[in-house]
Amino acid sequence: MIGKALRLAPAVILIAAFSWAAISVAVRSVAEAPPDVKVIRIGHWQLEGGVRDGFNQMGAEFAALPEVIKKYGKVRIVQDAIPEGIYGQWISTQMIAATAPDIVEVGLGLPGPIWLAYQSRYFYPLTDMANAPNPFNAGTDLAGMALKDTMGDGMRSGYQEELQEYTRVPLARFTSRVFYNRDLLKKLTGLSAPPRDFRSFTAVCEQISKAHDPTGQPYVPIASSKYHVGMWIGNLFDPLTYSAVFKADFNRDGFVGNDETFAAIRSGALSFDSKLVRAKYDGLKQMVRYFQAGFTGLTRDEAVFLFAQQRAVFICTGTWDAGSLIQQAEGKFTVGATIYPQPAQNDPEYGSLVFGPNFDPAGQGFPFGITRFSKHPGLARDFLLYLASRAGNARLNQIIGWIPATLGAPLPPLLAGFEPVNTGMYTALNTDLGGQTVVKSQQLVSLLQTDPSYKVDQFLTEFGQFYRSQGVADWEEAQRDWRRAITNNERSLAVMRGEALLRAADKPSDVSWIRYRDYLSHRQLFQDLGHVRQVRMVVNPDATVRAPYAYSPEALARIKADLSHSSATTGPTP
Amino acid sequence: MKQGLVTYLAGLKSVPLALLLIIALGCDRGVPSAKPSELVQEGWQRFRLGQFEQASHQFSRAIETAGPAEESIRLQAIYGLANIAAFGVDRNLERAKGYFQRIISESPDSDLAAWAALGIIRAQDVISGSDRPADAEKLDAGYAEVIARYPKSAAADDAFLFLQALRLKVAKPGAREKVIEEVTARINSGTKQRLDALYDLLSTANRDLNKNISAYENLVQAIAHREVDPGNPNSVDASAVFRAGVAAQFDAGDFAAARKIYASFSQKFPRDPRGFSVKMLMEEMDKKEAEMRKSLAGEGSAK
Repeated sequence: MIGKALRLAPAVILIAAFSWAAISVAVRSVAEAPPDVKVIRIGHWQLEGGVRDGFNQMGAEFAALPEVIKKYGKVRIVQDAIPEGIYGQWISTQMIAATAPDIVEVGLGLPGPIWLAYQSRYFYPLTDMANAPNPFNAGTDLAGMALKDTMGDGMRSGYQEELQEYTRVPLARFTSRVFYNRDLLKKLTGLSAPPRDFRSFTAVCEQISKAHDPTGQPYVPIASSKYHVGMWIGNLFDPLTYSAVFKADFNRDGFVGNDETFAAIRSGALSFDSKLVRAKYDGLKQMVRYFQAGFTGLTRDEAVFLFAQQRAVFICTGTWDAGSLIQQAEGKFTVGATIYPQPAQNDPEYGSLVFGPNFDPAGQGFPFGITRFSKHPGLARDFLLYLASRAGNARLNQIIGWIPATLGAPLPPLLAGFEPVNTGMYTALNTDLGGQTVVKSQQLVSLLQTDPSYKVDQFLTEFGQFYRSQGVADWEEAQRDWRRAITNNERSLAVMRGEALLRAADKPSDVSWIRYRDYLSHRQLFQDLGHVRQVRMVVNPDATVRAPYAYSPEALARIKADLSHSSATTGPTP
Repeated sequence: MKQGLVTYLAGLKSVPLALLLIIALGCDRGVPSAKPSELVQEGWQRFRLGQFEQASHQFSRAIETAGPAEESIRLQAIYGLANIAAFGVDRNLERAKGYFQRIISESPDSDLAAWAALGIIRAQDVISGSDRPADAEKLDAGYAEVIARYPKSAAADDAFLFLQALRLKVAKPGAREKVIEEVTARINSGTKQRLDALYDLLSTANRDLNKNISAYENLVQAIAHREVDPGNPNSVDASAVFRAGVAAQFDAGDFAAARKIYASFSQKFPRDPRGFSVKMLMEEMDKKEAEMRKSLAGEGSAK
């Protein structure tokens, strides 16, 4: 009898566990979605406490709006907050099983082509929504404006070029800032806020590096890691190369691509010994002296730990981490935020390379789309519009501590006073030609960061020689990539043409044909012609060719004639 | 009881098979009733996602199921197969040619025949994989033939653009002058088609010939005639506007026009990083004017 019971035990346990699970799921489903309530599920990977609180509060406020009650009755917003590590698998399972939430955060955990395929098959296009006013902006100066025009970047980040449709609405913006331990800064330097210019900032770091804690250990001025060092380079030292635009922007689009950098170096328009190239690496060399030893081998969390342990005064990171930093400092110290300390215009070394503030935009992120599995797509759209409205977006981001995506919504208190800078110096040097040059650059920059005896001069000579000699192979590979891109463009054109023929064969004014012609001209024809011009420049570098931003003789003659004419008609200036 | 449980547990072995069956059935649901036009639409969607086999399957089914009244859809499905052969993973030019030729022979005077004729040349051009294809003359003749055979078609408009672009890329002696002559003649013929691209071609040719003022004037015309896709936030080309401002300033010395263009750039693209360069370039114009005024004043007093 006992033997029989033992033999049946696994099956009994299995059946019991299954029944318990089934009942739990059923009970939870009824609790989440009572029969008279319309439920909107929102799936995302943001496990920070603020985000979940934000959605909970916004959901409750939305459901209580009289117009929502009138239109939809009882509404409830339910969240699926999924850890980053399994978000890709989770979303795939949900999509394939047709059980995906109504609203889904897009972009993490899967390769780009998979997200593209999902957006094409399982998401509603939001182009009509992007082009229509957001009703939740009524009564503000955004009333009547298309949703896309109420967002910081014109909602470009929500547009899927391959699908030629808007598919996502971004709900926050992100940038990076230097955060600091206010109490420790005050204690060690007497300052209540750090200086904003590079020279004074490094002087403060020097002062901090000489101070010791009660156990006799020296303080670290800046907590850093392999994750953080790129932010210092990108936000502080890359913009020092800005003036290369006027020497190397051969196609005059205002930027300097890797091929233009290569052409400029080969033709002699730029050299590794030029002030702007040297400044980038020299500034970095000066700054890394204040990072903790061995930072290149450390991870982001290890640097944050050092900061949270009050062993370091400064740390740079994305504004998405601000809430976590404050949380970790709670009850121990106060966190402050500041901008990256840019060299002043009178800086003895770098001043001549500074023409204004650094370009410091806040990119749009936190993007959400609406899936075709939604039982209430209209309600899902309205909730998304509510979150994207000025008031809704300000409130959501205030709870989370992020920068709002909608125009005119105020910054969270910690970042107030450090608004993103949309007009400023940007990087104009790109030596990443391909595999070999990138690897060599990484090796030598790493040496520059970690070996005090390895000088900037050595780096510039060594990397310069490698770049000039081995760069050709990388450049040639890039040309093959370019030809592959041309074939991919031709595929896109074939699809656009095929769909236009199906949809509006006899209507050349139909938007599908406009898209086709636009793509043909500007993505295929003229990009290819511009590229060919650039290739000629690299193959036959000619230092005698007029610089891209130099006046032609005809231009000088015209300016002179215009000025002579205006002084003749207006008389001499007193 | 025991027998029943054993049978039950043994039955569990077939669960994976049952699941596979359910998935297979699920994948296929609804498809059999699709109309040929829907199959073609689905084919293009699959093509867009790089799923060429599935795209090919959809186009083939459309060909099989299209009725006599759906001749145009059937030809479009063949056109889909031709494009897969030409630009898909395998890139089989001969097979592509076969499909394109089939369209031309089955419906020689249709618009689709013009697109098919252009498709043959485009496939050759793209497959050549070079900026300066060895058989450039053959390609040149191919594009010219499409233009001559289907003069009023949209495909011929495309062929004209590709032909002139090819000439500019290959850049044989006298080619740029020929481009300027032919494109100017086309614009002067009163055509309203593709004016932005035609002016862009002129601008490129003139710039290559160092005729900078003409290049600038062409660029301004190209921007003025630009066809904007209202749904695409990237359709308004910030780079083209920026370039026009730079050309007005440095090539033409037309500061009034440059200031106007730069102002329009700042207004249209307030968050573009190049706004800072625009500011710098505006300051440079002020400086240049002050410098030249001083020099003119010096010349005046010397006289």
